[in-house]
Amino acid sequence: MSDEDLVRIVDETIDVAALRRRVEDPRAGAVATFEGVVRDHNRGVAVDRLEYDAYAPMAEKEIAGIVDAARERWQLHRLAVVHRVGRLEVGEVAVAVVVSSSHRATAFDACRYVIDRLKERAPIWKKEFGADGSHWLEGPEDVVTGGGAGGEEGDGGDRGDGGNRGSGGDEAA
Amino acid sequence: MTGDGEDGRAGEGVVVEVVLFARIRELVGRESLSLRLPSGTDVDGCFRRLAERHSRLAPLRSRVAAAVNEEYASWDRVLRHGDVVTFIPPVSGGGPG
Repeated sequence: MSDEDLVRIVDETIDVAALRRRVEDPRAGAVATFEGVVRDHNRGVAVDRLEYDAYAPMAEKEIAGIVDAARERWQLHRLAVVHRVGRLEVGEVAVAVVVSSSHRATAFDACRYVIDRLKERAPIWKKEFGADGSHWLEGPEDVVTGGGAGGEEGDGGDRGDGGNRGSGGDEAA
Repeated sequence: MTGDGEDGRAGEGVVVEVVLFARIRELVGRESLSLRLPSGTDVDGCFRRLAERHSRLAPLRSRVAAAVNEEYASWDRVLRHGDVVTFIPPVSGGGPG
């Protein structure tokens, strides 16, 4: 992680535009932004809201390590990774990953890498509140619903990294 | 509130702080607690001690990862006095594996 990178767990609204400005660089021809947004359903059940919990100091360390790894793999200018905790309503941004680089292939690849790894490693949990009560979403096998992985985005972790991106109501399709 | 001091003479062993999150926090009912453990206790032993007091944790053993001092740790890591331990329920990707 360079001095100019930002990695933070926050408990307030994420200002994605500010993050976008933060990664600007005269050398950067590309900025890739991922926003994880709370959606209104998960596994066929309506979701009213989510609550996120995090072991913030460890999450920030883990994410900084992921940023380091991304910097080793790709030539990047700046990164900003912010995850919000607390209560989030449908439509709110739970996590943002913003990456600038000279060219777009790198920006896309690094941005995806960071969010994928964050979802695997960062000690951040979400609790879903919906019509059938509330429960903590836990991994690809959600104990309450007994559902399998990958229902939402249809890819079930086929990147081989074990991550399940269909487990919670926080990503736009 | 401090933890148990009941498993040996006062001052023996190591005292660790266990911080809890998500479902484990709800099952235990606390954000953190102190445990006095025999010297040489490893992370697995710490979990077992916690599960002795909160039996609903026991089935989670295969589904949690462990961290010591804000870094992922192996279950056979021997704990030292003042270590901060946490047990990490599965994150959306199932943890580091």
